[in-house]
Amino acid sequence: MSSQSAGTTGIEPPRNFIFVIDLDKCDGCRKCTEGCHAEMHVPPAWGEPNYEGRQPWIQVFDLPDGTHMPVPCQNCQNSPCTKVCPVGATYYSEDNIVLIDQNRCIGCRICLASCPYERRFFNWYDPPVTEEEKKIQYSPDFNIPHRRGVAEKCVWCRHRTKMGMVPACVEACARAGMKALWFGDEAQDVVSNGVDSVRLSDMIQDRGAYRFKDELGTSPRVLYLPPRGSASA
Amino acid sequence: MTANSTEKNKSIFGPVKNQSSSVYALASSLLAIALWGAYAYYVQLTTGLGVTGMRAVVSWAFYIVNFVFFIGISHVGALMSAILRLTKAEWRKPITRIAEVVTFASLMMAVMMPVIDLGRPDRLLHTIIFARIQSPLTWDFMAIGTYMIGSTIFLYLPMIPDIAACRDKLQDCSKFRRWLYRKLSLGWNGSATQWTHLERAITMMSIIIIPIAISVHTVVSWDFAMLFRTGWNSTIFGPYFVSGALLSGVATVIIVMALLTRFYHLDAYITKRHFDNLGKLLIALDIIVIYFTINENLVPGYKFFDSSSLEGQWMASLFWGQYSVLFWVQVIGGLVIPAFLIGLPRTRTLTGYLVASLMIDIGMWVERFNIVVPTLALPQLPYATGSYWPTWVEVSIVSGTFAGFMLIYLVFSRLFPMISMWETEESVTQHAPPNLAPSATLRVQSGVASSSPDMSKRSFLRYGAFGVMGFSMGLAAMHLPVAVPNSNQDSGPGVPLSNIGMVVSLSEAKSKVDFVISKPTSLPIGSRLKDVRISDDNHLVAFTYVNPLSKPLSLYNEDVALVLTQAQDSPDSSSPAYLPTDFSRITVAGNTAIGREPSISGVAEPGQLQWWRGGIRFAIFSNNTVDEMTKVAESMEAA
Repeated sequence: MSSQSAGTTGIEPPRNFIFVIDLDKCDGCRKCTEGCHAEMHVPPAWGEPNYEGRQPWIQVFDLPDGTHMPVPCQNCQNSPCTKVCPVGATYYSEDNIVLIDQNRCIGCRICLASCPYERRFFNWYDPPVTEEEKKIQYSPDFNIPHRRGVAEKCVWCRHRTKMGMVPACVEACARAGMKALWFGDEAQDVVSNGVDSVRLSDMIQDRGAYRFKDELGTSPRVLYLPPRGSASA
Repeated sequence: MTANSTEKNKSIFGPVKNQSSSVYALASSLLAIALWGAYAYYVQLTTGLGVTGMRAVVSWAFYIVNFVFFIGISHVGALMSAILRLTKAEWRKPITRIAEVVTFASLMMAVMMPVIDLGRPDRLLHTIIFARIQSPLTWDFMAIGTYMIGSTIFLYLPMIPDIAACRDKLQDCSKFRRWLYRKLSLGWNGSATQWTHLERAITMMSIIIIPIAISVHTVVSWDFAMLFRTGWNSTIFGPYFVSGALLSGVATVIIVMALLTRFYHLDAYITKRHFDNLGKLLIALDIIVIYFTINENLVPGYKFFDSSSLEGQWMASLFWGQYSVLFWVQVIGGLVIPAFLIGLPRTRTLTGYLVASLMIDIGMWVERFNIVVPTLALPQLPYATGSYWPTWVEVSIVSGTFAGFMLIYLVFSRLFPMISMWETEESVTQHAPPNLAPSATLRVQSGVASSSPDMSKRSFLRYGAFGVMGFSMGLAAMHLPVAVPNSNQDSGPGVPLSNIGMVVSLSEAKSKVDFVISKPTSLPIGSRLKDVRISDDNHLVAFTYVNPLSKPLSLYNEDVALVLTQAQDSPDSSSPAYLPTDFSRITVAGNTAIGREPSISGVAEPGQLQWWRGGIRFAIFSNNTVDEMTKVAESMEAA
């Protein structure tokens, strides 16, 4: 049995998930963060002054120039967090999403220190777990119920994306009529927000897309489209 | 053996022999502080790391600072015993053991700190079982483990003749002590062969311990330097940490020496000359650390002065911002003033050395704090600077480690002579190998250890040292094969069917769910219903089928060939807008569906068909083609 299920990467064309964030469209409403919290039952931030209420797996920053910048896990393809994990609890899934096996994590927090995007979180206490959450079978794709003493991160809603759906934050953004967040497959050259689909290459070329802190060489899989009329456009 | 040196030996044995009540009072107060620290850890263990002041932004703090500090202190043993031994600095002899015990006691405390800092200390063994060689923390565990074993051997080897002397001289002590001395002296009788083996083992260990010690603190510095952080992006962290380690270690030895001469009356052995020589070492190391501190701060300070960049914010937080008080306390109080105290002839007194050493040690602790916390507090994203303030738990645990360090030292100094008697004799009489007169004469009287030298025990000295070193390095090598990144964890052998829920009868299922259950009337030939399952929340119903003609599903570790699920979904749910490469859109009885063909060849992921109807999500998993699954889907009828 195990030989049959050893992996499918050799047969299927590799998926190359990509996240596109249109800073021109984002009005800073934080619907994405709310959608994420509802979907992933995100644990609290336990008083971290920079985080409101719960761990902001996708956090929206209000920049001094009046624009807003949502930051999810950048899903670096040369990710510092995967490199430094002493026990291999952080790893790439078959479709190259950085996941945490929280059954293996020892809670040393070197990944929190190493992430240049501060998109790693930690469960400092026992997270509140509802009866409903207890029934969910834990998997690194859908890491519920959450537990104490281990690292947490945005997993790009792998339980949804595996099924061909967009992550919860993208869906929440589209529901709010914003169209700031897009998710898709670079191999297919298409991104979607759950309502519309757009050709990725058109979107990138028209708008001068860039990657956040690209100079670090972490190869993030999130593209930012600068606001129209800004200098970098 | 002159009368004078016999008199001296009395003062060496003095603290070992006399167990005054003030010692017990000191030991119990230290124990009380250590136990309070243990209680604080118990609170942390049962409540979670949230009881500390650390949070997601400043995610390492007091524990890691304390870890780096104690690892630093531990370096003095290697410096004193190995480097000074190899360079034949004879004056070191009376104080080598004092330094080696500092190493031993501080390493004991240092290794505890990362474990205390872990969120899941119960999974400590994962660092060995799942060790990944590319992680700086794995290098840490290996380097510290090796250093700990190596420095314990290094402490122990020169102690053997002295333990033998205790065994022979101290006949009136407790039964436990006599047993301890007898076991630890390994049948030592001071024969010429034993001396040759001992000298060779010590010389070999001196050479081995130097690279290990340097690598340990370099690796500790890499825990920071290897990460993407402004303030840690430094290539001089290795030597910066090592020189700071030696500085704090020598300062600690001076403090301990001052206390021992004061309370144990070892002035006959530890003289002003030793303080002067260590003072020279201290000022040399102090200047080296000042040099590194200038390098580490002036270069980025010049480039990013008054700049809004992250580096600029970091320099500002140290120079005049949030952490400036700590920074200048460390630079002025911990480095510059001590240099003057030792440098000026007027303050080159015992008190002067003691004050300078205390200032250096406090300064070095603060320096480790200034490396760890201000860098982590720097906002990597556009938000406010992180904040950190230690809680009572962290303060208690850190105080507990200092008490524990002193307690280990106290117990050690009460059990064993703190001056290496034979080495000191050697330097007095210039006889090599020295004849340990007291032990030689008293051995005949006692008759305890009059056994002849045992070959295997003598070789143990030499081979034991290498054996243990080799073992710990082998342990490291063992990790190499498992150190490949693990990318296929989530496609392991299938999960048990019980993950779906429990087995029920169809009528039971019907009574439990809120929707109308449908059942297929047409199935692939050979299919037989295995069971009906319902999820714990009565939300999903699954039919599982076995089929001798079809390959079982790799999804489950039980023998099912087709699984059909139906679940309540939100009323407006429908097929997703965006599909992964291998899915295609089809129609099932007028409803949009998505389907995927099974990967027939090689390692198969099963085919899948999913469709939505009236708020119900249906899914079929099987190794059949999408066409066949569509037939099953279209044959669904209310059961």
